[in-house]
Amino acid sequence: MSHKHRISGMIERGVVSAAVAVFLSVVLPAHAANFNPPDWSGTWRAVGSVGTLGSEKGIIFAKETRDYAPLKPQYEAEYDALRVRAEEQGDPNAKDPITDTNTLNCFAGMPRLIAAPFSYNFLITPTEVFIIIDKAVRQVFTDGRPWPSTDAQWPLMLGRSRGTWQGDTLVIDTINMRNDMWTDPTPLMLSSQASVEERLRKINPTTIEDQVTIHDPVKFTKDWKFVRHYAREPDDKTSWPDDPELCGGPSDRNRIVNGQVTVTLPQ
Amino acid sequence: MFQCCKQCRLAAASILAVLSGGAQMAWAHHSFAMFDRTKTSTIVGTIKDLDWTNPHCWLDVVAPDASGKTATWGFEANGPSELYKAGWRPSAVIAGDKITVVFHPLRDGRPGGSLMSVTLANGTELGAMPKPPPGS
Repeated sequence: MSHKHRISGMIERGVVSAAVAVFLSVVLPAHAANFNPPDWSGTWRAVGSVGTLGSEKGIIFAKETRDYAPLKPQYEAEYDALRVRAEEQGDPNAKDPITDTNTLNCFAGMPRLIAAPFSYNFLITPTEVFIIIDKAVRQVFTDGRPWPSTDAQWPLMLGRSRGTWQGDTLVIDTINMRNDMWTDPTPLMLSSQASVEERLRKINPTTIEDQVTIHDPVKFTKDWKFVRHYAREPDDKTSWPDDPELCGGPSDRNRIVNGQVTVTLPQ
Repeated sequence: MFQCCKQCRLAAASILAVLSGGAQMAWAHHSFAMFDRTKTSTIVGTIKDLDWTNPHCWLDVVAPDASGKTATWGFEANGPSELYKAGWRPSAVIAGDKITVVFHPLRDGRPGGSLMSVTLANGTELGAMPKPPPGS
């Protein structure tokens, strides 16, 4: 490269750098200039059981294996009754089964997506963090925006989430979750006044820890606290993501008939 | 050939499957209560086709049913990405090949079940679940 070309290249790079600087100062908020997020790149998976939300070693429908929610007695009784009916879902001999809301909606929602059998990816920007879980995208605003006014709040599958960075820890608060969605594969449902706090931080190169506190002033006797972990999958440039989970299409042999999941066998 | 399997090896395989990935099977878009997870059965038959579809793959096999009459069995498995990670390759499951299938049977007695593992004609054994990632 000639001297003239080197100077030209330096000028071009200088122009680009200046343009980027102008963009950062004008387009991005002031706090973005000091934004230095942790590296949560890669694909992650929930560690341990997804058959229970509050325990990485829990077994679905085995109540004694789960670190279960501190339900008030009336809600504990309600949950126990529903759990028996849920355990029979899909059983053609059952009298009055109920079906998992994840099956009915083909979508899990919050807080169930804290521990799901899908891949997790974190996209961190100066103003938002996107947590991509199968076909769900949790949009966590870190720009300091206030919660919506009361009349602008209604229940959502993923709720509404705000976050703050405390060093390398992302603290997420989630409200406005639906009260009719199971929080794990058992029929444990929160009230409409429930909220979730998560404290996410990378504790080693292959592990993100999530300290979870679920606050439900209606149904709980105290806050429900537990810790989940996500393990980073090995870097594998031959690996490609699959479709998100798709239910109810023509190729789904588990049709929902009268609110019950069924099995269609080949002819 | 249909038989109710009580062999320790298969029971151990079933327990291992539960321990290694059964929790994830517990949330596979729907409950598996239509399958009797207390029973593990085995059939030997001929592959009709492998339905490599989302949300669940299905393996259809022609084999005698409990009465000895030829039937087309349907075995529900995980989705394509999970089976791929467990070593399955759609091109290796060839229609017309002999196959042995270990499964949890449907409670209603129809010819079908929840797939646990298979042995292909060339002796390759394939489980239903991918190995958990390191550190889990």
